[in-house]
Amino acid sequence: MKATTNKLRKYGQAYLLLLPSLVFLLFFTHYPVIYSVWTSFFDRIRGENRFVGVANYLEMFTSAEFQQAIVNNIIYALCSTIPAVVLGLFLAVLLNTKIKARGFYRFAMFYPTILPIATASMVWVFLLSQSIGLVNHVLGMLGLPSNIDWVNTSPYAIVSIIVVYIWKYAGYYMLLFLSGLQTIDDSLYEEAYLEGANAWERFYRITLPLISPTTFFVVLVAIINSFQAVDQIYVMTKGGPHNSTNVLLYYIYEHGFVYWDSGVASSASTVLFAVLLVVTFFYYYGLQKTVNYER
Amino acid sequence: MVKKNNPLITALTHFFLIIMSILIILPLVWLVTTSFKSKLELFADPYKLLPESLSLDNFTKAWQYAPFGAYYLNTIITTFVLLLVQLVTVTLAAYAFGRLDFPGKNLLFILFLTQMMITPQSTIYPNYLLVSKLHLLDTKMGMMCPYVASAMGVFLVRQAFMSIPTALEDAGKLDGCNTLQLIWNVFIPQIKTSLLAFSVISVTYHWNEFLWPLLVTETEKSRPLTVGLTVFAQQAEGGAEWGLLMAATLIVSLPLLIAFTLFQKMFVQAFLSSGLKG
Repeated sequence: MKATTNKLRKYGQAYLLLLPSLVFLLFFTHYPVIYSVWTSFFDRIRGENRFVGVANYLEMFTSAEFQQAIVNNIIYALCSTIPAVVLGLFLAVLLNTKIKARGFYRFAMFYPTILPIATASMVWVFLLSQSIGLVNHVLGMLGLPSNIDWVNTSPYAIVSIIVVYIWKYAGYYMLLFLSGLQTIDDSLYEEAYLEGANAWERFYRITLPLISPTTFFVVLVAIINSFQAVDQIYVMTKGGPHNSTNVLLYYIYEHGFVYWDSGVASSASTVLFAVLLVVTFFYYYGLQKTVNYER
Repeated sequence: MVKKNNPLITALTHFFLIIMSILIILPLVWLVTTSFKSKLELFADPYKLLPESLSLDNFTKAWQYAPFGAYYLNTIITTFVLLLVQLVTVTLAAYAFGRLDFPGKNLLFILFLTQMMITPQSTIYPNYLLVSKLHLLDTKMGMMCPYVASAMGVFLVRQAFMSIPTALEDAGKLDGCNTLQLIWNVFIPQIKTSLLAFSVISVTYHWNEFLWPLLVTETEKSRPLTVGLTVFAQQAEGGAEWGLLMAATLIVSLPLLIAFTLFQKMFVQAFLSSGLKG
């Protein structure tokens, strides 16, 4: 009898410790998801909420604006993730040597991570300004086209937001790669060197396979980021011109807070949950695998 | 890695790294130097690197034109009050998951896990409706609510809890500590590093946050720096007062830049520990 009360008290204590987090988790993470999914099947018709089935989804998926937002998001994801990850890896490999001034390089490349992207975007608007922007000026000095209205014309607008993404995240990915590289045993390289492998072979045969778990995570983190980094879109382009920089999250923002269209905003949110769910599923699937692998 | 110090390769490496560093650090340099330039100076030669004088005109003007003092206070209060609350919720939950056994532990853990998938950005719309129903629009409370529970923090700190030997806990129990005393006296000193890493991430994230505060704040009563800056930019835009705008941008970014410069290692460590765990 006494043993069970003791046990119950112990359990009760555990639940009590979890309670504060759990309450907020249920209210501000789980409830919103359920609410969105639920609301996405309703629409406001003559002032009344009516069940409309998948009508919101049909309306959304057949609208040119949504289709373009999805295409834009895919372009944005590919064209920002790949260069940022490749650059991050390349910088990490270069910095993983006993090179001088490592501290300075690391600072220079990592500082964008801690800058607010909304304020950094302000600087980029200035750098990319058509009349007095430094970017056009430098292009002009190199003899390239230099009268570009970067943030207001397509396709330069999406190029601009991709540039800001790469600038913001390449250093962060570099850091993640650096920590992956430091787990590789130096003797492997020494052996390969003695066997006459050149730098490229050492990278291709040793570095790349051994950091593949890190690469996997960085790529997924980068993809998730590309579905969430919209601060610079708000500041620089507002989704324009002609929707050319409209992406999924920005679409939600516009339909939820500019047009106040609850059905579409909820359906679009549900689509975003689904996308993130798939990506994070891979993330944890991979995590499980590497954990087992390390054992 | 490079065994023999081939001078050519070293030179090439430096060359590439210097080019990259210049490209990445240029926006920061441009931000700082432009904020010291007057309107006339910018007009005469917008591409000159160094300003003619270190005049603080732009800063004082920006500070007068917009209530940056109030914005500062809002950002500081939300960021640090939230951090304190998070440290409590995170430590308690991490202790339960890391050191206790109870029915439904796995299920509850999965409930926490889902927060890593359902990022705060993806729930902006339903969460806005919720915060509005709770009459928390335009309050600091409304801005903080979605972040009080932090799964990322719980995972980070749980890891630290699990690595502490049971002997320490037993010693504490022999001394007659209750659970809270045990956490405070025995565990906190052992998990300091993890709590610090979590704090750095949380402060950086919330100091910089933009979209959510943009939606839930309406006046300078609750508006944080990042949102205040874009409001200011929309007002100053007409004249394209870049010097003024860059000064305001620097006002917003300076605290974290200084902190990062001083404690670079700490920031790097913190971002590493959170990055690979989600």
